[in-house]
Amino acid sequence: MSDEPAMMPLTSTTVSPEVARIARSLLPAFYDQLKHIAQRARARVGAGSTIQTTALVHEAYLRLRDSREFSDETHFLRAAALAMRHALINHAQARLADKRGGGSLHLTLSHAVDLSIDTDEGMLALHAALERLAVEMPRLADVVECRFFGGYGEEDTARALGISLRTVQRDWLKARAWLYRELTRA
Amino acid sequence: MSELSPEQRARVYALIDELLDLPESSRAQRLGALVDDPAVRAEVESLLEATRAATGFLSTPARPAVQIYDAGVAAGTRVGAWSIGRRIGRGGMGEVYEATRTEGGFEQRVAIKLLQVEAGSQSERFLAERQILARLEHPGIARLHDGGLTEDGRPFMAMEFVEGRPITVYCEQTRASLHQRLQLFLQVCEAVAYAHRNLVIHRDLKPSNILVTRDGQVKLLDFGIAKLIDAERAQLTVSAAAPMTPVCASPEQLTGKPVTTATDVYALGVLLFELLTGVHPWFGTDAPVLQALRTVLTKPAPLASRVAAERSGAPVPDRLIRGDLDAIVAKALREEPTHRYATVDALKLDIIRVFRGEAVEAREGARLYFFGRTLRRYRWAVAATFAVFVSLAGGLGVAAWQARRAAIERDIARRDAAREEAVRYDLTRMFRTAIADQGSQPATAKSMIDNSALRVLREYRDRPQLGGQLVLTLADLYGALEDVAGAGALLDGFVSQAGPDADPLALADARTKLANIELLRGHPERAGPLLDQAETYWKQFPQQYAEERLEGLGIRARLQRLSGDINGAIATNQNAIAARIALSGRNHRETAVLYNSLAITLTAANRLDEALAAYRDTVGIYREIGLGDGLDAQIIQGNMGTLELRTGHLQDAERLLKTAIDGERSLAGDSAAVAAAMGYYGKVLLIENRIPAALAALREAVALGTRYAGDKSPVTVQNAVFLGEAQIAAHDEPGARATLVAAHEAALAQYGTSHPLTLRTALALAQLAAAGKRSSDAQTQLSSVITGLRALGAPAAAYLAQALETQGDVELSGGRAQSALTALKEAVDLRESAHNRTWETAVARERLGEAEAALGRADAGTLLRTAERDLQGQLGPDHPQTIRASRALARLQP
Repeated sequence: MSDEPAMMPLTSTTVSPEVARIARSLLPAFYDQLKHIAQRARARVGAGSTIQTTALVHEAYLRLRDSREFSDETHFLRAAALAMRHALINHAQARLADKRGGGSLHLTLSHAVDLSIDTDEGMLALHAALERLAVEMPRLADVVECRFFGGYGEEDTARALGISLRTVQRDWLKARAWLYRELTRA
Repeated sequence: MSELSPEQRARVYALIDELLDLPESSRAQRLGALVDDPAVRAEVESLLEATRAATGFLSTPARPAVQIYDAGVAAGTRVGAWSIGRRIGRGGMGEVYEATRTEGGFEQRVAIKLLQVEAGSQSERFLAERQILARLEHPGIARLHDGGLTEDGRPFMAMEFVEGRPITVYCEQTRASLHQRLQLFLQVCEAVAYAHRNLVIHRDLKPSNILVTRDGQVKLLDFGIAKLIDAERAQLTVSAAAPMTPVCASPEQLTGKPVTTATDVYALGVLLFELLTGVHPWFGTDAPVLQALRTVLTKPAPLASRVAAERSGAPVPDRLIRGDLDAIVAKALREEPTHRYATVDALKLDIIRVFRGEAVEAREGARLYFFGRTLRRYRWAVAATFAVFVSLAGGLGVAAWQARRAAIERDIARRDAAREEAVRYDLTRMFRTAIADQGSQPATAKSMIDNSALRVLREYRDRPQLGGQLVLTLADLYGALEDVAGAGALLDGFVSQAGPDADPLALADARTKLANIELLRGHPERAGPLLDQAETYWKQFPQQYAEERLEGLGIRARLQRLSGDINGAIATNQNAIAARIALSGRNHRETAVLYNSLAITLTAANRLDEALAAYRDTVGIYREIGLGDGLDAQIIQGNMGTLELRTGHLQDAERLLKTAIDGERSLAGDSAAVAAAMGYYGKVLLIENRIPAALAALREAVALGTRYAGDKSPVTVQNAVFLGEAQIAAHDEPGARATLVAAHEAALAQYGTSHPLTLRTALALAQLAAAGKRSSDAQTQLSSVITGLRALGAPAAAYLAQALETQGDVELSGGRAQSALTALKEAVDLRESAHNRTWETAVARERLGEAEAALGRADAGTLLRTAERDLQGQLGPDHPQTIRASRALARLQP
């Protein structure tokens, strides 16, 4: 088990270099914190993690705000969502690699009905689908990144992406529809 | 989806937007009206359908998936030929069960280690351990009996079942004597040596992995992270896994450097220390992991005998440890792996020598002892580490840290493998990356502390009670990083924003620390008021705060010395000594430190004999407390050397200084102290006219001073002056000029025109001019130097004499014997009042004699003869000064 998160390239094409830089600096910390959370939750049988990723993002925000790592809050929000997404994906991949003893991964969903994104396979399938969505409708993918992976509310998402609240709401609807359809198609 | 063109797709989404605004019933109709492209329509319908189906989809934000706790293997399950019994433990990689087998008519009991279900890539490590164990067969190592795969494909190992206690626990519970402890230790060494012979490094030697059975047999366990030495390439494999136990990890393991057999030697050193004293070298067994990491990397281990002496209920009397065992432990715990015992066998042999009363290897050569630094400097309340830990754990309100602290302590002390591992993992990795990964990671130790500091100041502005302790311990953390600026900023902030509700104790403590920092920052004038304020508080409870008051006194004495109030400094020092003796007794390290300060101050006041006496007091105390060969003692010897130099005992000076340099270097490497000693050493060589050696030493001294104390520090400037003098003696005028001009500018910038150091650089430049026969330049420079030195009074007497001698020389060679006489008379007076029979006095007399001779005075002859005799005795017959005296005498006799 490697110590470092597998350094996936930050593939979002819609971010500026500044955002990418911030995201890259956030990623390792998020990754480690996720592991920490996951390990801590291990001991309790049947318990899912009660800590949501939003808490991690907020903590990072407070921390970075003090050190003036970024001048624009918008950049931070955008970057954090991106980084959190990749941290979650890395986490899921690492766990799957563990389970399979390092074999190759199959990104199929065995149960079309029970779409539990809480599983590692589900997370990765979602991630792959999102990449495909990003090719077609990048803004929709960005909204998903903020709302689902970053756990942002509608206002924060609007701020992060520089769009109106209404656009966020609409995009969220459309994106979820698209993804749902994509993931339930065999 | 890929069948649609971008235009079509855009249309689809625009349509969806519009349709979503409509009630559902109207949508189909509207769609029909708007669109005739069948592809577009199909897509819109499909997506609209999906929006309905996906109402709850992704509604809760992402969470990291977690693993349900594995309930373990049930008793009775068969694993290979074995039947699982009770669970013995849960380790980093899996679980350990007791298991039995009744094949062949007898029952065999083993410990079965099962790789955990989710181990994944850890299976490699598990299999590696199995492979390693398979090749080891030794009574001191738990044997591998069997291995294989369980029915559901999990790898397992069946090992010798060891029923015993950890070696430290065993010794404590059986009240083992020193002899018994050492015998057990030898067993451990033998097992480890055997492993090394079979090319295996254990890497995780710690008491819990070293059990002792009922009949006193040592068994090593858990080669979980052992590594095979790659014999084919004769290379040592680099540590890839974080050490499981940072507390016992060696410096190279913690910093990710290559791991060798010396790593196991280090762990054995830690073990031996614990067997001798009952505690871990740096702290008790419940210490927080973060503290462990920092201290292992920055502090040398304390003397085992000292720790034993200071602990009530220590298992072994300290006098039995003092000396040889101290040395052995220290040699095993050297930070640099190559300075430790080369092999475990060597360590073993030294222990055996202790039994036999023979000389031990560890004490040969350059007396490799360590000693503990004052606890004061590293007085880390447990709180300190938690302040940092809290900010790392992230998101926890600092307000809750006190409650957390107890929990964290318990967490770490408890044998909860999952949590321990998470903590160890986090912190070890973080430190390793912080060290190895300069800059790209935001989380260096310093930045972590910086962030904590900022947060504390900000959040606790309104809650000064809680903030105080955090601030102090953060300041100590800065201190450990030697970050004066960081500590200063933090303490400044705290002191300046402290209102009437601030914790007065913390405030007084902070002021004292800040006073010290102001001295270091070069603002002695700010230190005084701070000390006064702190003293006001300490005075209220003199018994309770005796220690703190003493600390303040020590700082005040330094303050006075730095401000030039020498007599005040001496008085304060003497007060401090009296107070310290009253508090802790004479034979105490702090007393010695104060005597040393006194000696330095007396030296500055030119009271040289008293200074030497104070040094002897210091050394005497150090010897009494067993630190006669430690670093402090070496530095003091260096100081004594400089004193001997000034009192003209050149050979003593040379010997003491050389010893000090070698001793300091072997104990702690290069440093500012070495630079200072080296400078004086070079000066001695210069006086003895051993010019090439002097040049070499002084060049090194300047380089060291620049590196470790800064290019404008007193050490460096003084060394540069000496170097310049040596270059003058070597007739290297360009070299001397370069050196001295630079030194002069540095001194001027840092200290101003009237500081003794600046004047000394100016004096050296004047000597350069004199040597180059530029008399008028020399005269001008000399007169301003002399004026400046006169203004400084008694402390500058020696330099004034030197200046006057130079002036006399210049006047003599210019034929102005009368002015020469005046200057040289004063020089002789100055020299004689300092010390009658040094070579310096003799030189002054010689010059005076020459001046008298030039004026035809009758007593010239007597003077010159005395001078010649003294010079011959002090410097030898071939020394240029002696020769000059002889020549002058010869000119007298017609």
